[in-house]
Amino acid sequence: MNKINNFNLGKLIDFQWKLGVAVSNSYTKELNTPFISVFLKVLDSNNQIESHSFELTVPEFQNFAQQFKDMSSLMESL
Amino acid sequence: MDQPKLFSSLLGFLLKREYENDESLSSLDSLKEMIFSEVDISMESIESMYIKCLNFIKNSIASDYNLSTFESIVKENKEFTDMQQECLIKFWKLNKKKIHEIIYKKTRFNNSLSKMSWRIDLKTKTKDIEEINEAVSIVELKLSNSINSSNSNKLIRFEMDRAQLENTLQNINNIQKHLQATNTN
Repeated sequence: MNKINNFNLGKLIDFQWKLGVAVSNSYTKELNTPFISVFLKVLDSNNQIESHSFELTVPEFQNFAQQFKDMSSLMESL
Repeated sequence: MDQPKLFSSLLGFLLKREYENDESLSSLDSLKEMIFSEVDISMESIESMYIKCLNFIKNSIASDYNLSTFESIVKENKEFTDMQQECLIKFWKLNKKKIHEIIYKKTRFNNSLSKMSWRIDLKTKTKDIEEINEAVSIVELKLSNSINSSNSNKLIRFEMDRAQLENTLQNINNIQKHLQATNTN
């Protein structure tokens, strides 16, 4: 298995998430917007672990989710 | 200011300048050039109407008025003519959702995902293994940060084999379940 991944571009080693609601901000006291925070750990090609995080709105998350579903169904068809 | 087309254009200008960060509209002088060039009106009157509309929109955003509340508040405001009130209502109806999203993103201090690309490869042979048949998905995520520019345009690339992809998808499905539960509550 390690040999197969000899030339990897990076390997996903952890995927954590948080679903939250932004309640208010400096512009509005009624923000009430759900968001998804994603935290990824990737082992890069130099064997260094890099952490990354980003935040998605619900429509952005739905698009993100759809792409993973598309990938998965293509993988299954192979 | 008594023509609905001109007043609506002023509101459109306001949306672009204040919320969509259109840098070409940084000076209010362009408002006169672009919208009121053929009308006999002073720059002072244009500016004062612009500020009046801006304050009204800012207050509406601060309280996140729904359309019917917005409508009753705007109709109580005698600073606007009937025609201007109608234009404001139309503006709020069309743009409320968009503005709300912009307002959320203005304080998104974390990175956002600006682009996602992926590819599926089938590994058939390596130096050490004569024959393999391993599908991998390669994902590239482009992150950006409009607030902290030092973090902008970070690229993440990684591979996932079938098991890792299924595991990630399981996490994603869990998030979707929680989202649905939140919506139905």
